[in-house]
Amino acid sequence: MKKLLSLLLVGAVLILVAAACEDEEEEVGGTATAHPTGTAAAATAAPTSTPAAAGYPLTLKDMMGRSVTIAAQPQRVIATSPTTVESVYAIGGTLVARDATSDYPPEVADLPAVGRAYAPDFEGIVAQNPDLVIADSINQARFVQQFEVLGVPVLMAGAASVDDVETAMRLVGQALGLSSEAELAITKLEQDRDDLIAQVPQQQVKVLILIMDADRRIYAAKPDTYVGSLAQLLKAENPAAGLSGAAGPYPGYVLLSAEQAVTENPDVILTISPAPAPAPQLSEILKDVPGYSDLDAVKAGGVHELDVTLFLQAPGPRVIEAMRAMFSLLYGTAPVVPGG
Amino acid sequence: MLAGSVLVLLALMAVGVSLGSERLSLAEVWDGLTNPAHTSERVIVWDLRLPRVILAVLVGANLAVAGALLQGVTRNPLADPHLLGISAGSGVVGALLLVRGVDIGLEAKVALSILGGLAGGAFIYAMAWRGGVSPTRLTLAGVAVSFLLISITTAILASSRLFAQQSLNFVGGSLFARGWDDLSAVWPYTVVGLLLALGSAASLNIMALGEDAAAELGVRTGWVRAIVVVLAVVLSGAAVSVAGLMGFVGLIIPHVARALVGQDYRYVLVTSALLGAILLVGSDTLARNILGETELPAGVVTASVGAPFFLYLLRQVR
Repeated sequence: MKKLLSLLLVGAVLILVAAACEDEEEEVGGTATAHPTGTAAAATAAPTSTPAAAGYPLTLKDMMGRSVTIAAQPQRVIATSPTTVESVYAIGGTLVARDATSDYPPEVADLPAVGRAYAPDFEGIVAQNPDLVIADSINQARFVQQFEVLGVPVLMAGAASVDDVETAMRLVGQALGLSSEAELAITKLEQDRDDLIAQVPQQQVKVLILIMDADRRIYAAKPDTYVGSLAQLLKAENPAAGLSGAAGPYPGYVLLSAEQAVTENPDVILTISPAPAPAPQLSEILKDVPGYSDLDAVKAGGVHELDVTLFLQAPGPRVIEAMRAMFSLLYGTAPVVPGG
Repeated sequence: MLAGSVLVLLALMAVGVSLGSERLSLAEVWDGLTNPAHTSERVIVWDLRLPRVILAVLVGANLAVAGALLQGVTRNPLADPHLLGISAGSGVVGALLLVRGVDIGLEAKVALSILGGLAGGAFIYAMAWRGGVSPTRLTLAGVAVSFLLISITTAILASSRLFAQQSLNFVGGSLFARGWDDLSAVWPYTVVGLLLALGSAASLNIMALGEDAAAELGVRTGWVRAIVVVLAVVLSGAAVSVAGLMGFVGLIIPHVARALVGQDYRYVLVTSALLGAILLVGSDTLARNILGETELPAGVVTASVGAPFFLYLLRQVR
């Protein structure tokens, strides 16, 4: 009896010690990547430090339809997904922390990371003392409740189409007091987009955009996905529009059987491979998949890999870069870039 | 014994509130607990960590007591809310809500989860019924229904093909991103359920003497069994609604409790509640801290900490 009680206590103490040790290790690792002084310097050097900007307090309707009130021009902003991080930098804003998944623009690598986009580190966010958190209205919608606990205004923004990219940039611009910068960036984006669309040749191209899940099932992007919306803008014909297969882990993508692929027989196949490097890319695998191996596009070298960051993980202000890359793959010629 | 368990639980709760992805000094933790001013320490300690630690207490106590009740009423040492299909109905509801992404509010979610559990329990009862329900038939029907409902849960999760992290947290059991709102939706069921469970202890003690002896002593065994199963459903349904399918707590804790305090259900239930809370608070704290910024499902820890301990106990106690 006594023995058991002491056993129990020993167990509890072991848990305690183990947890304490882990905590210390984490601390050591943390100081290696996080530079509190560096981020503080970056925050003060930010172009957002216009004195006593007008327009605050400010109430905005975010992309989940929530009302968000911002008391004063935000000085310590955190964005928690690639889309939101890139939106802030695209309009000339800066951050004090980002999610670990974000790596663009390159300078964000120096910022402390507060969890991954699919599992934010709420404690880490709070510890940065933010005065505004910009979270993802698409990937992080289910965390709204926990974000609201933080006692900091939380703006939800995200992108599933080019229009969304503009909406997100405009919203972030208003929140940060950078509206004119945001409008400039949006105008540039629209010009580049229209310029690119004007260059689309007459030839009709039929494209399937494919992605594979962990069980090697293949899905096709419908036009209401981000990548699908880009193909539609570039006037490619997307036969997945009329398909009604089972949904997969990627919203807007439908399960595609080999027979369906053969029936549609696309001119071009674009692939996205979410699994990181050692895993083979879908564009390589496809020629070994029964059915797909017989497709004209597969035999004639019409299969191309899309950048997974640009087209899946970080929909956002780099949309023009993405569209230019897709243009080249669809039509076999690079578009003329104005001034470039 | 009880005082010792309470002390260990309080100590572990203190550790749980003190540790997290942000390293805070004890002074900062204390300040966060006691000073209502809006500081980052306050949010981290009071709004992020404390509700989770308290939820771990409730979920652990719920599952352990549900396990003890089921082991008593079926007189089967392997009875457990998950193995007996008692929480499987709640699991189906939870998976459906997760997959559909519907937002019906937390109170409704907890209530639906319990209703799902009750529907599962009623189905088990109906399947086991033959002019009354014997413990053996209840166990067998429970195991069969459990497998059926768990495969439905898996099918729902698989067909939706959610991102792995989310499914894992639900199937493995996790308290990630849970807060005061979840706590306020769950505690009434827990408190009422635990009190009623204590009230049933005397009947359980008599039923431990065997069906016939209990009947001779005036216990209506059929009714007691039904009521106790309903209690177990409510307790485990509330736990599943916030923590997913957290395994192992309901199976091993009652055995540990019996090894410590003997067979009297009044003590077994109270001790189970305390030990279940201890196991889950400890496991959740480890789950939050062991991998740095990402966290493990706490259910993985309850199993990997609990199983060796259980095996050790098995070899020590006869």
